Amino acid sequence: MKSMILGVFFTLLLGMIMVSTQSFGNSLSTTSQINKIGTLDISDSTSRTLSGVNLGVSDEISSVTLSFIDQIPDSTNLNISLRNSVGTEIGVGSVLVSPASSSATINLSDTVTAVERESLESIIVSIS
Amino acid sequence: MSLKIFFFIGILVFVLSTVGYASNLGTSPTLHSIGSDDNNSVSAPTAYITNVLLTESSNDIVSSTISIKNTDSDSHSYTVCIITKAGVLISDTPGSSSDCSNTSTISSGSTDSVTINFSNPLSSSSVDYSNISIQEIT
Repeated sequence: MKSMILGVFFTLLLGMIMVSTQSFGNSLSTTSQINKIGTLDISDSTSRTLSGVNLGVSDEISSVTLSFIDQIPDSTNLNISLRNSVGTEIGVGSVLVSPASSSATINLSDTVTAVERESLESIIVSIS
Repeated sequence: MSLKIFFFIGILVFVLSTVGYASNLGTSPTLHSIGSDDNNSVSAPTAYITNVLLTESSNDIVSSTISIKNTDSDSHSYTVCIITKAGVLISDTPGSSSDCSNTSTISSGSTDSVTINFSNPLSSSSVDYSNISIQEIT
């Protein structure tokens, strides 16, 4: 009788271990399923309607070609500022448009590096 | 005596198994607000915007063609959305994803373009702002 009780006891003990192990063995990890997202803002204060921004396909940006619906008047400075996600200017350039034209290429004063380009989030175009 | 032992062991099994099964194993992912200051969990995609072109028709900006370069070592496809603003008017329908389009699968280092037709064409004389988003989807 005593050995039978012990046998039942150990069987139940094994059952307890299996039950508790099964629960503790469940994976607690979850995947948030968030995909990668980036944005680019383009602000145009020229009143000429910026219709094209060509940044080029190389990893670095040394120049930007801009196109407009309406022509930029003769002898007008066309300015561009490239900024990163925290608003720091990572590229700037200016060109004197002459004669009037609906497109212009601005060479940046300092090339935007590949690392900087990854953080590019804002392009501001203006005339002066 | 044996009944007491069985009863004790039975209660023990019940309690332990209940504790095990009753434990909440679920965790809820908490999403950060995208595009706001507390967005610290959404990574940037491995892609560049290489070219943006707005198309005019009958004095309205009706569509935009956006070129994307995959800079990752793996192939990816992306959802590209654009919202263009002319004064207080916007090209997209608020609350919808109408001004979005998916690229094809772009291999490493290659470029693809998508043309997005605006839900609300905007007067070409007053367009002054565009916001483009890229979401890496595969």
